[in-house]
Amino acid sequence: MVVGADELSRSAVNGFDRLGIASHSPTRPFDMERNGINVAEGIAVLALSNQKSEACVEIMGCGVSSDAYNITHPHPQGEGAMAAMNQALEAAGLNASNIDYINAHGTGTVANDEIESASIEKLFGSKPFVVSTKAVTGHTLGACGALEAAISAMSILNNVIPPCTNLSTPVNTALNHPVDATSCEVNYVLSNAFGFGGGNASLILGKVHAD
Amino acid sequence: MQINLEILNFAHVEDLEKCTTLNEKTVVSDMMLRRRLTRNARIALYLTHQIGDFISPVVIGNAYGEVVETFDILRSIATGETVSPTAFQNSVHNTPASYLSIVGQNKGYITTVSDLHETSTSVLKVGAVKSLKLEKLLLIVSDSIDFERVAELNRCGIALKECGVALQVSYTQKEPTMTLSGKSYVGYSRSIWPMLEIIEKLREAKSGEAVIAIEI
Repeated sequence: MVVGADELSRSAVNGFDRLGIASHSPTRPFDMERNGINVAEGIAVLALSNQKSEACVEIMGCGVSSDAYNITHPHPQGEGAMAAMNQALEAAGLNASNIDYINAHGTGTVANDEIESASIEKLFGSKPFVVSTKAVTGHTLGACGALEAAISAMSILNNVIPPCTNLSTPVNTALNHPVDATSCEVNYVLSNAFGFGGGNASLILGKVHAD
Repeated sequence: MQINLEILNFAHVEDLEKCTTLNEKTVVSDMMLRRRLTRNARIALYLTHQIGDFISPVVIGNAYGEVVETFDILRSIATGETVSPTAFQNSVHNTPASYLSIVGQNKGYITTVSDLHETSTSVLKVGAVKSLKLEKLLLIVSDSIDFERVAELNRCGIALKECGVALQVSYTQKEPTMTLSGKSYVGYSRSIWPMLEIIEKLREAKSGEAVIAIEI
């Protein structure tokens, strides 16, 4: 069992507020008018098995990198983010064109969303759907990696891409941000989780097909 | 499953109060960056510098995290003062990993493990699994509890407020040369006991290959 969990605390709310990146209104990831995160709490439990089943999704690969740049600000050219995504693709044995949906880190901060969207465009172009589900869940901090892996798995199992809630004017018009929930074949999803101090992780999940 | 790790190098530092020989001016030339370092970050940087390897992937562990900064935040909230942004950004468990990356310009795999009393054991296990795909890596465990009013809260019998151990290891198919007995090191944080036993055995052996078996 892999569990990601975090509870709402005054230290986190006060801390993000003092850093000037806590939004006092509903967060708007990837929007020109975004102004920060909604600190939230959550938990997700992933049950892992070495037995393949069509009722499950497969962990195809992952990538981990460090920005080596700044204790809070991401690398301005997204070097670390792109390294993690490239490593995940390599580990999965996939090309960027294979990815159907990117569950972006998409915090709703000015810095993250601009850099992450530019990095995604550089690696993946305009094909995959790009969504930040933090517009709905808020930023669950230590839980968000597991929580968004679960959302990514549900996207594959249900063949549905969630919508970009609260997005009206995208910061990067080259990306494919769905306004509504979209039913389509979802075979591979890449999920990003980037942390304080430039720690980056990208995970690729894939559909299990009957042999 | 058993994975054997060859210990290529090691470093150790400890103090009853605060380690004063961390050589920060040499390790971190940027004064502004140096001033912001947390205690665990200073210890990790010192140990990495002693081993002389800022390039390899790193698994870093501590049981209690950045308690000085956490205490500072809690005090601010309790007294109605504004929280220090520097204290907040330095309060996460991943802080030493971030500073290792920034100072050493290490853009590879650096991760943090925290498992209270089992922190050393978990760092060794994570490191052993990672070693299967890496040339070599650093395993670092430290804890610093030298914060204001620690005497009122220290119920764990920790006499040494700062301690850190680093091992440079690589995967090997050689037979183990040492086994851990689960020895207790009274006065030290339990989180670091297995690492202390490893370096005690390394010092006793003085020379020759050092290989330890890690059960996953």
